[in-house]
Amino acid sequence: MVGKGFYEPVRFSGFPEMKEALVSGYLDATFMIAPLALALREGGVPVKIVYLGHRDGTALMVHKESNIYSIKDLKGKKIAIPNRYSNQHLIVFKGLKDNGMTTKDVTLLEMPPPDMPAALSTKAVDAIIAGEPLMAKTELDGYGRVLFQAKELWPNFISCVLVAPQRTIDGHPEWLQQLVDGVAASGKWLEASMEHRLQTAEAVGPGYYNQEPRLLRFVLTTPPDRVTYANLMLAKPDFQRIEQLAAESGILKKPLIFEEYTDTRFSDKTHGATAYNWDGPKATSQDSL
Amino acid sequence: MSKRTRTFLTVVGVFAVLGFLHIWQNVGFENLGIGGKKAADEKKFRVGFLPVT
Repeated sequence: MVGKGFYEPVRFSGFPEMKEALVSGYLDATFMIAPLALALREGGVPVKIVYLGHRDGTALMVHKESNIYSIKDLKGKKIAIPNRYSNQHLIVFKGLKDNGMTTKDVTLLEMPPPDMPAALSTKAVDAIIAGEPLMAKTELDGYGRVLFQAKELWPNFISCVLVAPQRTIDGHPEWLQQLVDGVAASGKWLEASMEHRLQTAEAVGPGYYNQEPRLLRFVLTTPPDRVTYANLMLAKPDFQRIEQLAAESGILKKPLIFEEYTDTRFSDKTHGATAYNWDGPKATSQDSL
Repeated sequence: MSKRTRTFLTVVGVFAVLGFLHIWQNVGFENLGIGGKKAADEKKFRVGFLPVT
């Protein structure tokens, strides 16, 4: 897709392709799953986390006809995760551990998130976990059931973070700061009212997500805190938790230092950010929930 | 024009066409500054994302 302004959004369907685009220099920045950014740093790739994309917004879904009603019922089942280096992997690891199990008690399958709803619908897998709106799609289409929302196991869950290569940080910090400021102001605007959430569904549904506004309206309003955008500043304790789980699960081989894999200058400057002064597109009353 | 010269010119012509197509496919004329603006003049800040939250 091509954006109309200076900032050009580039849509991917999987994280491996996104990683290649970042490493090759095609992307100036990207939203990606937090542990993948840590793994890139561990591998010596000069990138840093500069901001968060959102909090919460992840659910583990099972088929509504299945007999899975608790995490313990996942024993022996197939679970699709977006990537080994995803917080969705870590939350499954944590959920199993909290219930006296390990990832050896289940079969984890890496799958591009857009393929997950079909896999659950056809019962090719027993459970799927990824970011919204794909999980809500299964619920809205009538075959998915929420086993747990991420926030139930991991309050203030972080999934996607904004990552920038060092060449962007050094070469064009003003462009990066403008982007971070925009994300912060957008988040404040989104959280300001339910009407804003409805307007956002209309604005980004077809063009960015290639999804019906009806689905995004459901995700952004049912319940209203299903995905949150209010506090996107980098906080060390949040990442220490990710580091700890990543080390325990074995996806990171050596300890990382928060100050080395983040650049908090951009995040710090958003302190006290206010919402955009934007009217937004008008939400339609047709095609209601 | 001898047969050898015609053969030589034909081969050169084929190579020229192949080279032209190769440049067109791999670089594009815009990047060469032929027939339009240079891509460098239209710098955009590319931000990757997946259509998930």
